[in-house]
Amino acid sequence: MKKPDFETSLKELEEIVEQLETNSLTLDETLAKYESGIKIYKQCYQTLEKAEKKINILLKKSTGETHMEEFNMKKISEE
Amino acid sequence: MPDSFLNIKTNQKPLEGFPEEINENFFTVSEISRGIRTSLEHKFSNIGVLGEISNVRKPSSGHIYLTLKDKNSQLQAVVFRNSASRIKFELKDGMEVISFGSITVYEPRGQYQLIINKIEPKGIGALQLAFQQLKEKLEKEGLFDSAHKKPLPFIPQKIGIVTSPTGAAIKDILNIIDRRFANVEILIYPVKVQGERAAQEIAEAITGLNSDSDIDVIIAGRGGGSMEDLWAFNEEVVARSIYRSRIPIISAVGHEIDITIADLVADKRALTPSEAGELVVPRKDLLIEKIEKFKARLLQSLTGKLRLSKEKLVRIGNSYAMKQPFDRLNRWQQRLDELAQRLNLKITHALNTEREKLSGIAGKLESLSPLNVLKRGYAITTRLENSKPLRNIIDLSKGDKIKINLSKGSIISEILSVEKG
Repeated sequence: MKKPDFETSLKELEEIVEQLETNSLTLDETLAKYESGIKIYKQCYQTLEKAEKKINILLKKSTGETHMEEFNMKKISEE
Repeated sequence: MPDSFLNIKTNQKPLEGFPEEINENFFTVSEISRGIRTSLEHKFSNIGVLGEISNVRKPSSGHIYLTLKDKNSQLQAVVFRNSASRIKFELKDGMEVISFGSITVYEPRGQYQLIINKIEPKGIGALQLAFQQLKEKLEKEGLFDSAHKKPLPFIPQKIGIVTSPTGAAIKDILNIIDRRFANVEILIYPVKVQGERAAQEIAEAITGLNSDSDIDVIIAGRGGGSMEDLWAFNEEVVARSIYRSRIPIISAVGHEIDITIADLVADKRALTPSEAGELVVPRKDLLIEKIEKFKARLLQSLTGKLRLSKEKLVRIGNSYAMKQPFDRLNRWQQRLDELAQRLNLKITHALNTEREKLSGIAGKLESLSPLNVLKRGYAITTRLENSKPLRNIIDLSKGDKIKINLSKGSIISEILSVEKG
């Protein structure tokens, strides 16, 4: 199964925070909720940071084969 | 008879047996046809004809045959394949059009007809009409159904962009993405966005990106321009490629006022290429702020809970129930102290009583002491060897030494005689 997406995780995190803030939980429950909240927080953070910046352009050779090249807007514009 | 028909009559040999009059007006079929043709083509070249379309036929040759008519007359017309491919809208019976072209004669059948090389709908632009027609058609087929539209990923990992690599659109899109969520992978599929084959290239790019399993959203578009410039995005082939795409597509064509067929089929329409950049990625800084706030609230709740629990613990510790065991002990100790004190008192009292009794007895004893008797002149006689008082004379004989104890001293004496009493 795929990991829950960011939006789902964010919603889950918000729910946990709200549950904690109602203050109706026992200390054990509070600790458990806190732990799972921190876990989701870390997941969210990872989701935001995991991709790397990369901009490529697909180019076609005269033979019809395609290859990728790093896209440089300046270079392209000057051509 | 200065008629144009006669002018083309050349090299005619007089026919024998006919009057000269007739001979002068004699033509072969071909001659008359050619004459008519030359004359008509000369007079009716590059003209516009207003009329209603009827009886449209489109054989596989690609030529289009139709009849133009008005209230009283009909005119056969043909659009040859090359011209036909340039007509954006579909020719339909009943349509009022202005047809541009030239009259010619189809000699094998002796028919004159209008060769159309350009055709415009009356009262509306050709492109406008083409747009309306395609829109109606695709709408009927369900290509614009909202049920078919796919949701955009909240945070895409890889974005495909179908546009011209030199246009204004790509700059705008990349700038906005960089500002909002820089760390994302982008693949640009360069295409012509106007002119010949632009539509085919765009469609092929969309289909091509769909074979890349990593891409999870596509932006297809271009900057602003005239309706002709944007036309590729109104072509059926582009619309169908968008509809077939399994990857969600954001259309970003021209400005807000330019609505294209691509916009209608796309899963999401961006009003401009810049807006596509905004739709495709969320603002990372805001998301980070949001999750950091949640984290702070988590921590705050936890420490709050801990503080409350601690306070509760202290309160319970101070409660009567928890303190009772010490109270009891204290009470016992107190009782013990009290008992000890009472015991002490009793003992002292008893001792005192005894002591008093003893001194009473001592008084009596003293009054009975023989010493007091001695004071009154009595004496106690003992043998010298011991201090045993002598009570009779039985054991005494002459010459025994005895000690006579008086009140203040004693006398050692020797018995001279024993006399029985």
